[in-house]
Amino acid sequence: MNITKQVEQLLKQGDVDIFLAYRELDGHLIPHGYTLDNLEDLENLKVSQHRYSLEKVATHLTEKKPNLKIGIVARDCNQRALNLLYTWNQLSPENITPLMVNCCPSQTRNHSDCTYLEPKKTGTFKQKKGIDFNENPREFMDNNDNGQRFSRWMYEFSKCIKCYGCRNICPVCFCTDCSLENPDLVEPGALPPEIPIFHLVRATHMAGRCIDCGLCEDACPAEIPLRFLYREMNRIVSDVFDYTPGAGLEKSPFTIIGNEVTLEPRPMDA
Amino acid sequence: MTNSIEEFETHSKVIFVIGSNTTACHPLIASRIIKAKENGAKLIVADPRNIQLSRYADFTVHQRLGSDVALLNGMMHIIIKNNWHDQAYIEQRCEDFEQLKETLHTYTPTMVEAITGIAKKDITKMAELYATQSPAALLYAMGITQHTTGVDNVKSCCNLAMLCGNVGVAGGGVNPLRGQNNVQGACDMGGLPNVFTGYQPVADPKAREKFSQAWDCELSDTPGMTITDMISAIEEGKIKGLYVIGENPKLSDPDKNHLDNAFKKLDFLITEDIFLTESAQIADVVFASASLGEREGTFTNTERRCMLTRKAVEPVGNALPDWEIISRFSTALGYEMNYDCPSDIFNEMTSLTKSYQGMSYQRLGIDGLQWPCPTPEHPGTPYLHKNIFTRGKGKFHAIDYKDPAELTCEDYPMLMTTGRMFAHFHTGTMTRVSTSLDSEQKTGYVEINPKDARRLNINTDDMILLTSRRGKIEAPARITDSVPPNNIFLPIHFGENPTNVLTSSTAFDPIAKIPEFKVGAVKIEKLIA
Amino acid sequence: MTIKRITFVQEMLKFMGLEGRLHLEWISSAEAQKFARVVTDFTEKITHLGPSPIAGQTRSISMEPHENKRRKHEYHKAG
Repeated sequence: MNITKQVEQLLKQGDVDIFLAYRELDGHLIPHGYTLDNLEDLENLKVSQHRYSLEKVATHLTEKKPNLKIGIVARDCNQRALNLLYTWNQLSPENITPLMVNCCPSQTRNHSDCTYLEPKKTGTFKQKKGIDFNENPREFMDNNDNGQRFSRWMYEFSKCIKCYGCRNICPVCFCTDCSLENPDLVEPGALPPEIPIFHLVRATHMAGRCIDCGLCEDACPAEIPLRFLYREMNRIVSDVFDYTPGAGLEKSPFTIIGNEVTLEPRPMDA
Repeated sequence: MTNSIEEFETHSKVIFVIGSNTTACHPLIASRIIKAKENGAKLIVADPRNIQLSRYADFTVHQRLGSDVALLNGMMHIIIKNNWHDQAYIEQRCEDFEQLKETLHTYTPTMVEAITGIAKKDITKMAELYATQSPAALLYAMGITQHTTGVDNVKSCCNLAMLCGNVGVAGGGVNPLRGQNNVQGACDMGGLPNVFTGYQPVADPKAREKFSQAWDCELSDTPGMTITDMISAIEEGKIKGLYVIGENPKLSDPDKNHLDNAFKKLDFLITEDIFLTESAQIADVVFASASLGEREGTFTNTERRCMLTRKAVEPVGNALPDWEIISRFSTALGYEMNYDCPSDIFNEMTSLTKSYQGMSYQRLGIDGLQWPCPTPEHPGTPYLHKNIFTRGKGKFHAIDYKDPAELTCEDYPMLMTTGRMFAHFHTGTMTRVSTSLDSEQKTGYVEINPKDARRLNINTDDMILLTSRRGKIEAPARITDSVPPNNIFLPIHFGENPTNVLTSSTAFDPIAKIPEFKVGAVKIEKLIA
Repeated sequence: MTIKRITFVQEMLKFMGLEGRLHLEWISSAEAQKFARVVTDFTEKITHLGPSPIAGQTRSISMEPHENKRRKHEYHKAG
């Protein structure tokens, strides 16, 4: 059964109240919510290599209507994001119906196992001063000493225009108070933002949370290799905590200081 | 812009940015510039301040405030002397080169160094970098235009670009980065005192007849007033009523005290805006207009690209789209305007405007079209002046350097320049109501170089009293080497620290009437708490 | 948990080119000598590494307490 039919059926049977997917408009695919009220839009439903963090839309919708039943067209990365959001209690699996679609034709980036887009090309100046999108983190460590690594990262971070695109597109960024906007952590009002703190604060928050969809790197207008950075954060998390975000429904080791405290306070006289 | 934004990345070998804090004010264009640089293009940045973009420049200079004509003339002097100019292009496509050459003769590196403060060897290097590779794109913004010599500055930019054969080629051109999403569109639509749509002069009998016929009314052949002229006309009692649409002159116009006095003399003030701006607060009538996303229409952006904006939600309260307010207002005044929808207006405009004639809502789609687009089959024009200039020959203007209206003196020993910061937009009407943007920057501030701060014993966040010939304001200090010694920078976004109390309304360009927001003399004192 | 978290930060700083500036050591309140030794050693190490390259990089300069630590921009002045 083709996807349009499936979505129509889900909506008609009342399995979902809204189905999040894409719609073609003037040759561009844009995110769209299909409901019983606009079934005729379904003829424009299209699946292609275009991506958007539909899970984020689902999170926002759920915030407003906690019992809303949401269908989502999902690739592997969307499914990882959903898993992560379930474990952080941002969405509940019983309200979400993912409709799995194939990943785009494989033209893998070297530093990624995602099948999205062609590998980005890295310009000569960026190769010289900054970081090659397609470099392997291990090669990066081997080929650059401590000082070189620092100066390469600072070059990349200094291009930042503080647009918050990386955060805003991120399917697993859901905090109501964002540390990046905390004046004690990152001084507001400066361009570039305070570096490397701005980016390290975000990197720390991505550890154990990033599901490696790469949308941040695609969204970044300054071509900062964010995916490269967060992948390494996750490599460390995997080594140290033996945890891979989004792989399953296992709770993140980081929730221990989050909304779930499992340790009992020690008695005073112990 | 003569050229397209995309070309900086796809075609330009050299990008020369002058008078534009691009990363803060045009961040997406800045990202194209940085990408171009990363892919091997050369980047030159000339700005009195040490801006973010200069970190990536192959060559950066800090010319003294208001010395742009001297700098550009100096570059051209060196280019001609070294034979780096494009003689064939000049002969084929330009005129009045001899006059230019004669004027440039006196702009020796020594003289230019004395005016601009840039070392001779640096001017030479910069000229070489710009002239010896092509295509070279020249980009500028308000740092070039907001001067008593604004028109001279722009013409000098054009001189330089033509001298090296950079106009009419992909990846070259003279590219003013327009400050707002639709400022190009507003000008295209005749939002200037002397033209109809598409820059058809009101003084041209043919154009007048065409519009008289279409609108079924008599039209004046006399240009109207610029905003600079209007303020003095109000003072002189020649203007009794003012209708302000989508602007906040109480913050954006120079010499606020003078403007406030003039506004008091108005019999009647109407404002039309999405929020109750400082100007709307003193208005007799406020028309609430629909915001972006609540209305349909088109914008024409800095690269002449006309794009559709769609309605997503109904306007809040009784707000109406601007076109409907104007139509109803006009009808009430006795000239009936009956349009069913914005596309009716668009179609009327395209039928009267050659450069938009081939456009329709249907054709615009998501990507839009770049004018000129004269026929329904025309794909739009990525860059202007290909093969031939619009006026025929590209005219060189021989221009001499003139000092800014105000220089430092004993009473006002520091130079002030005003501008924008990344988190806010213009008078903050739209951005200061956003919590995230407000958390970036809550109040105004004054940027002071560490050397001056030390001399005056000023620390970060100390309140500073700034005095100019027009008035006084207070603002907290921000100590930074993004301004040179003896210069200060003030952002214009903040009503509680109204920068334009300090600026002058009598210093403006004689032709364009644009005020000299970028240079003024001030005195600064630390306020003892 | 502490050791895991600190290991994470150490690894992150290494990747960033800021290796060696973070150290974790278990010292009991009874181990005064060990405490003195570790602190002395680490102070020596940090002194040897010199000021952190981040210090004052982008915060707007405050005149005190660490005046002039920031990478300074020189305006060329001629004429």
